[in-house]
Amino acid sequence: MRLGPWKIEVEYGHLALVVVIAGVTGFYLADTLQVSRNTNNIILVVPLSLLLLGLCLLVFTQCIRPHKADTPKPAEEPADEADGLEQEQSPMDLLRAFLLLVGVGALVMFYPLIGLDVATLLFMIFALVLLGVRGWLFVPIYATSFTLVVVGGASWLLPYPLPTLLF
Amino acid sequence: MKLIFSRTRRMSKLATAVAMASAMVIGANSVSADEFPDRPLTMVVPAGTGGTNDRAARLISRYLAEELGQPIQVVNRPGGGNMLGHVYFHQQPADGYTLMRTTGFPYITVNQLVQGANFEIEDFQPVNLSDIGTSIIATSNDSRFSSIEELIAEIRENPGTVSIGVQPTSTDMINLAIFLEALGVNRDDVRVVTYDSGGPVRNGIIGGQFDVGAIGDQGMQARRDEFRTLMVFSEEPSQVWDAPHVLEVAESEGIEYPRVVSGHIQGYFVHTELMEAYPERYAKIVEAFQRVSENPEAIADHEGQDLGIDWVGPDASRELMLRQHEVINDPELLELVRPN
Amino acid sequence: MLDSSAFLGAMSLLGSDINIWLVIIPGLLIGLIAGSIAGVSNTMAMAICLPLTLYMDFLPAVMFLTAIFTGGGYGGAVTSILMGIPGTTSSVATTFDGYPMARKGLHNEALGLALMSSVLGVLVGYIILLFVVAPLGNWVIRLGPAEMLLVALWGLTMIAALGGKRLSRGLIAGGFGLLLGTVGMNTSGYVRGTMDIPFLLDGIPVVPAMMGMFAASQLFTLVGSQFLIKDKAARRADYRRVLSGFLSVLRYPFFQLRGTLIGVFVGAIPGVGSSVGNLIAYAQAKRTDKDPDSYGKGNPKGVMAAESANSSSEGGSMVTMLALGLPGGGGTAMLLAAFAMHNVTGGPQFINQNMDIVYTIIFGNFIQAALLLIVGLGFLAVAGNIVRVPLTILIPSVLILALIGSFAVTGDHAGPITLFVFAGLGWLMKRYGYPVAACVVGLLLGRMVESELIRTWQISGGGELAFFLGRPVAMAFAILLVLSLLQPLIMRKFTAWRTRNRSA
Repeated sequence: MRLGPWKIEVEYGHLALVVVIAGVTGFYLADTLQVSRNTNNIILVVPLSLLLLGLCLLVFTQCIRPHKADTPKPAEEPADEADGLEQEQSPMDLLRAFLLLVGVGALVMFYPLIGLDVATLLFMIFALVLLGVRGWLFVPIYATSFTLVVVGGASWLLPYPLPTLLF
Repeated sequence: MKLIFSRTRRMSKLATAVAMASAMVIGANSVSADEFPDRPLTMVVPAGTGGTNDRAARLISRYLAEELGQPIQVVNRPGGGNMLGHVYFHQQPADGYTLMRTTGFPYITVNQLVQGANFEIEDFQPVNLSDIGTSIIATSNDSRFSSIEELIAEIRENPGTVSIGVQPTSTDMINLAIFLEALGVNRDDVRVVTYDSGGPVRNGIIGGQFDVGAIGDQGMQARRDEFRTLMVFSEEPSQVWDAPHVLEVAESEGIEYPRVVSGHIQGYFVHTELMEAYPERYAKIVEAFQRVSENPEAIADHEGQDLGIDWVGPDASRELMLRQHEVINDPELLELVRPN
Repeated sequence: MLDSSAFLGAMSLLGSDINIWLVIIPGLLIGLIAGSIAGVSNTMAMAICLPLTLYMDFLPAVMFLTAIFTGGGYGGAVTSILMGIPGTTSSVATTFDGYPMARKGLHNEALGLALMSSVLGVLVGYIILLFVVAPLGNWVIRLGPAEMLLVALWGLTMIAALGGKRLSRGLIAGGFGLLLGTVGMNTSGYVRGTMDIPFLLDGIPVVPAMMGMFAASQLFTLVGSQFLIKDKAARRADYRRVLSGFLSVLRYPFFQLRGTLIGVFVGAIPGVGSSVGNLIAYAQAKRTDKDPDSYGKGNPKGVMAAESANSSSEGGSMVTMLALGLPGGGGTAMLLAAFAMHNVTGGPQFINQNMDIVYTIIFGNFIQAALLLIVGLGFLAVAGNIVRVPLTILIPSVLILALIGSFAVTGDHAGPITLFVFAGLGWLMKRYGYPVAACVVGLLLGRMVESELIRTWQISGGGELAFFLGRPVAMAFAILLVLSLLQPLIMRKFTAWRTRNRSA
């Protein structure tokens, strides 16, 4: 983003992560202090969270790199040694991964309502299609059999009831 | 088709319709008293596998299953000072298929009065309180203290040097706190070392991790050669432990002693609601427990593991629980349990 | 130190009941399968099978459960290597080098390595146990808060060893995990950070969190790739390569032994013993190796270190269980329950009066180790094929399994919710170069570090030096800790000095 003659490079995703970590840490620190100031309570949490907040601040400043628009970009920090084994993900892939995560979230949120079996089935179909599995026959067959085996098996094995709709 | 219903889960409209239909089908074959139980029962243990309550639950489940004709499955729900397990049990339907083995006293009381649980002690009906403990103060065999008088003297002469291991939400902590207050000793004059459960305190006593420990005497009998008992928190001289009891000690120190709280009380519970909703099932359960407690094989097994099996019965048990509940239902006393 | 009458007694006991032998293979298989499905773990399998043991006699029941335990110890390695998701908390370190090896196409070797290390680990661990079961019991009971704190700290130094390019990120990840590990009711009764959510009273459920973080960071990063291993030819399950992995372990006997020793002794420490053992062994191996930077990229020795330690810690935690009646971790807690169901109590009396049963258990485990070799190899023939499944199918399937696994662990909604939250966190962390493993280590150790720190503070009256000086074991641990951190430095100085002298 531009701010007058300055250009500021911002890694938004990274920033978000740091903000989340710092936020949770801050909240936890506040909660702990509010419960009690006794040594037995604060001995680890307080110094650790302060240290953590400090580190977050440090990284925060590393996420935002201002430089004059006219001058060439300062040598980029050498990218974290790209794991030679990791295949680069295209933006499309990233979007898919994100949608997958959302799918998991939906699954977790809704299964008490519609039953674990139905939710699993829906999720499987959604995920398989999202990831690009072709085959109008294969997708429902695999999804159904997987659901039956896994959810059925789990409800048979586990001592506590699985919230399910159909069996 | 079997539909699994849980009071805590909301079901969508479709699901509810299906549920009702199934319920009507099932209802047509409803279970009469003679057929109870017609499926396995569950025994909730609000503690982890391998602990005292868990072992007792598993041991008795074998015999109970024989009496009732259905297997009994132990389900562990540890956490929060037994609170999570109590909450879970409380949420189950009061139809006789869910039992609980727990340390009713002091935890149910503490849950209700200190931790803000939304149940009350009256909601739990004890079938039998088989393990009634006593708090004791004990130390390792090679400890520098060989009598309670030495301990008291040391605390007074050198405040802030004696370490005491204890589990904070236990009756042992309550008794200890009452004792220290009666002696006129400040909390800060002793080093209280806190543990999450009784097991580590026991081992700490035996291993000499701290000077003395305040612990319940359950599970200590089998290991009595490994430690020294300094004092017993009881109103009468102890038949079990070779040490003076607290009232005796108070008298010789010339101090007033307000009250002695029972040690942990453990046993088996059902929902109080069950007594009214399905009285025949309740009676059957009580009868089964009673027969187990008279079974010589069961008795031998329990004794071998240092677990109680005496039959106290539901009425006496309930009275005991409520009485002890009242003993510590005192804001000042509860402050001692609440960490400041 | 060997009790000969107990020895003979054990021999006769082993021969008395064929059931003792019959249950071993099924147990191993169940453990292997359970451990290798990300989500189920060997503890869970033991929990499910526990009611079954009611119908067995005592010795077969114990053999069955310990076989599951043993099988699961290796099973966890399978999913760690093939998918980078630890099957149990004790296979976390195996992912560090095992998964990179798999991505390079060396999964056969890695699996073979891990199997051999596991087998040897169990074997050697129990041999050591044979000799030290009684004295170790006495030793463990003397471990006080100070000693436990030092062990936990030792495990924490793992975070530094995990590195990652930027120390700051590793520290943030580890520190954050540590902080999250303290949520809930602490050992002094204070309740923090629960936001009135009841299940958080007991802390954040570690296994779902761990699975969420690893699964998310691995699986989501793989979206877009077709297969786990790029090279099609490398995907075959190749027995020759498995065997070569096997045998390569035998080239490093001392290395293996060190890992095993660490595993046994750390495993004996009640609480998180077995989860910490593999981390400490890995960190130690990395620190003392000539080429530490190769760790984390697929150095077979990393897998060896981790697997030798986590298998031998089974033996170690058995000691604590038998000698003190204290569970060393999930698996031994199950065993204790089984003991109770059959009316046996652990504790010093048990050891003194029933040495023959103890020996029987130990010898039974020797047999299990040997059989694991065979059953494991057979299992690999099947399991290795996972890499041939297209990722598009594998990813959702593993996600569901992980979800069901987290439900199974907590028995209610708490597990899956935790899984989801940490999946999000794990993915973000992985994207920006924060070592997920550091966060998991912190989470695992958080409670232990805080509890022992508090107790050390309490018992020493607020940090009085006199307390520490009076505790030789704590001092020894502290010295060991410092030495182990300095060892690489010392080694370098030493080699430099030697080269200088030689060239002079």
